[in-house]
Amino acid sequence: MPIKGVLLLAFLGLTVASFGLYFSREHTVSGAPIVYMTGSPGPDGQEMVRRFREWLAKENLSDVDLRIDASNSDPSKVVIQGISGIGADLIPSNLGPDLRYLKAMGLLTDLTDVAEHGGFGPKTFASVAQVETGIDGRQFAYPTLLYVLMNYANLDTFALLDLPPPPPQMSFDEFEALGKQFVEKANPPGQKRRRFFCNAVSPLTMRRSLGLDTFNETLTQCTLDDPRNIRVLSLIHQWTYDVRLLPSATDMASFASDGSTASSFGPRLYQFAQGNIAIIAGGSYLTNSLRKLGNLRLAVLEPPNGGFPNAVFGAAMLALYAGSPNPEAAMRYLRFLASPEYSTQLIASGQGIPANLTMARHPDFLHPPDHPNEWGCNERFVDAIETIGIPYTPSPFVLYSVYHRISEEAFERFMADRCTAEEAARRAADGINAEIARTLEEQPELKERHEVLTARQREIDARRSRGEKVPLAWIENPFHRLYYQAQGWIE
Amino acid sequence: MKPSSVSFRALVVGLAFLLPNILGFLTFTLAPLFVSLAMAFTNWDLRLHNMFNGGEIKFVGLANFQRLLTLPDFWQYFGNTLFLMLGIPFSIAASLLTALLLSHQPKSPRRQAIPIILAGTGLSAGCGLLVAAGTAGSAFSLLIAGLFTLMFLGGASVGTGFYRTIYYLPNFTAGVATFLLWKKMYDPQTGPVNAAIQPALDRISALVTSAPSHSGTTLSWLMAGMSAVILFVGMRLVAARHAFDRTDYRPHRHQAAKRSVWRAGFVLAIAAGVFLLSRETPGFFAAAGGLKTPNWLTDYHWAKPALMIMGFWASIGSNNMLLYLAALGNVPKELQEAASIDGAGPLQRFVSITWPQLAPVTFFIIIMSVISGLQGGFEMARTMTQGGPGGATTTLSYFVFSEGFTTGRLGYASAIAWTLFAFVFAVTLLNWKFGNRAANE
Repeated sequence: MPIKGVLLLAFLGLTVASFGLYFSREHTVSGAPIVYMTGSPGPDGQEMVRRFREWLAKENLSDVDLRIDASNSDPSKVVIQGISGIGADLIPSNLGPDLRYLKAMGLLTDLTDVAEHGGFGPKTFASVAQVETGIDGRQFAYPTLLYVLMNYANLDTFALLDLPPPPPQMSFDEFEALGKQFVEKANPPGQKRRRFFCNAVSPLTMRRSLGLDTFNETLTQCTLDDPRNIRVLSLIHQWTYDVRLLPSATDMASFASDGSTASSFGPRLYQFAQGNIAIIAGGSYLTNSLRKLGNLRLAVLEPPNGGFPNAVFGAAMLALYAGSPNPEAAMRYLRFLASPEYSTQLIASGQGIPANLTMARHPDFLHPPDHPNEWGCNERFVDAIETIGIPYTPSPFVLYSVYHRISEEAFERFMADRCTAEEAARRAADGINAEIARTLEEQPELKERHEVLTARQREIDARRSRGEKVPLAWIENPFHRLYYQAQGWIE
Repeated sequence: MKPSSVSFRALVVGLAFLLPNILGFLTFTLAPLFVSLAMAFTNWDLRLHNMFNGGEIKFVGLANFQRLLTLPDFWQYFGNTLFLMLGIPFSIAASLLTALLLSHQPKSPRRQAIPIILAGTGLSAGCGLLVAAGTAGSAFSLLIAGLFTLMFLGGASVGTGFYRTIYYLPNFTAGVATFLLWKKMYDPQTGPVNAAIQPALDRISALVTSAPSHSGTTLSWLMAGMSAVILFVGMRLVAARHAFDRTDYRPHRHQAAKRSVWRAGFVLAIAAGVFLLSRETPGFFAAAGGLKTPNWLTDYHWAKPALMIMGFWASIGSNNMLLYLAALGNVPKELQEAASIDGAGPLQRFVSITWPQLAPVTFFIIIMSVISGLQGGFEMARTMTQGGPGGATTTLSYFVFSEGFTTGRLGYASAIAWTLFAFVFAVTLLNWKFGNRAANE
């Protein structure tokens, strides 16, 4: 056969195979509309899908073939797939500022009206979560769970070393004193320290506890070059390399190779269960993974503070992709999120705090019948949301991913002894302020707002320097709003 | 049928077969290339314009390039890229050495394989005994050292297709899988790399600690003296060789002078290196008492060398090795035989015959390595370090990605990509101008 004949045959074969493949694809044979949801894998996810379909049947709603896409939850993948028109129907976001980025790109469907009529509007979840799900007064997502970043303590570890349980609140000095006591008792003298008091502390929470946020009151300027931030950086360095309360990046990398892949949250939980780390930072979403490591006696502590107790609060959310081919079917899952069936399953699985705080006060959540070792923990998480929880600061003038990258890089340089704390703080502030200036240059429509807010900031500063109070409405930064109220600086 | 209609028909048929490929190239390579060039001069931001947002895209001229070139971070990332490229000469040398070892065909492979099999069996038995005796660390070090030795010996003496396959294996493995493996290997506490290095460092530490306190200074003086001897003897040898090479034929005289200058430079570099080492010796002795293994990927200073070492490993069995293998097969045997008859040793044969014959391939490899070096580093950074610590492993390609999809500034990201292209183009031009001439001389 001539070569042309062979090639023609191959072409025909491939054409037939392509049609065969197309008509055998699952979506063409599935009876229900398919909805893709980007999220974490695992039996709990599949169980949630099963419950969802049961709920659909109970509510006499038509069936939905919900599929979890476990491999595409990385934020950059969400963006790339989203702008390419092939995003999942339900897009996850764990941070309010990230949700704003997706919204700014037009990837999200405005849910306000349909949620109001469909029974999954803002009234069905905690009002504090509305800061995360709402943008300019419109609803763009529904919270799947709430989180507040506190510290879990393994009480068994403390008991084994004859140390008293740590108090629920600690100042920086108390944290350091107790930490020193722990690491000295836990590590044999003269040997390299392999057991640590805490896996990590949050620079954001620490500087907020000193009355400082990443941005000023009107979000117009970065304030990381403040001496309070320099103090925080120095403290973390000291705790990591001098008194060794915290593991360094190298220690953490080492933990990652200890064969401790017992949970999706990495090796820190395994080390925590083993008693090599006494306290781990995280939210109640860790409970599910901790349960797999045994019945640890747990307590929940607030992060160490310098005078103003606080903890980062947020919500894991699902938003509807603007290019979804099945928006009606996808919204049925958002309705399910508002149902008691969803919250019940969430409570049973220990994957997080239900967005509906009434459900979060349910006895089964506060005192899980099968897990008496956890009693008291969830209560503290829920209390913290209502008392000390503050979301990440969203700024209209700089993307969260950008300012996070800049401040992290400066922090890493400092921790690697490439610069002093002062230089790191200056580098972060200069970098972020340069980004703000760049945003204003690229988006001139923001300039007027920035100028108004800058003028207002000058007025706030003048008033504060005279010791006068300021109107709450002047303050844009969610942290400063709470801080000013707590200090009695509001008119 | 007229000849012209036949050739036209053949052209149409040929084009029809090529059409899918041409269409694919136009759609997925050429068109995006021009679009990205246009984007580099705009303010295209995903927040302004994408399939869901129809915001106006503005022409901003050279603003993106101006911003980029005045950004200190850009120069840091460019420096990182160049630093990682310092490994290229070593990688090329490694692939050449591997190809040389693998191109060696022994006369009686079976007989030469016997000692290797015996050595392997002995090594395995030794490791087994050490593990049984509870000294797994020593067994591991022995195993690693022995494995390398056996591989090199095996390549040198057997040089069969089996070894060629083994050396080429890393090229079959997916990059990300390899990077994850290396990430585990670089683990500072439990990784095999540090496990292999630590015993040696411990021994050096013990040796230094037990040495008399003045050893560092004494050794420093000895090395300084040695550098003087190298300089003196080396220059004498260069002068002697130059006298031997001297000729009245003008072109040859010029070449001989050039070679002598190179030789003198080489001797000078060696002597200077030894002298500089002698200056550092007392400091080394002072610090060597507590020698520690590096924190490879989490230490600012070690992260880049760690990636370079990994790249060096990958290059040993790379496509460059295949190119060298093919080129070595084309070196005329008659030349080698003639040189042997004239009394040339293996090193002389390599320097005077093999290496010049390999010059065109080496030139090609250098060009391709420099291009891929400037473009590279993204997968490694993304998988192993996320560009950290402190931006130490952020290369230009990783910077393109983060600006494009973390911040959504597609216009700016395109400007970075085209600036990178300009660097690649300029370096390639320089390579062509100077390297091509050198390769053909």
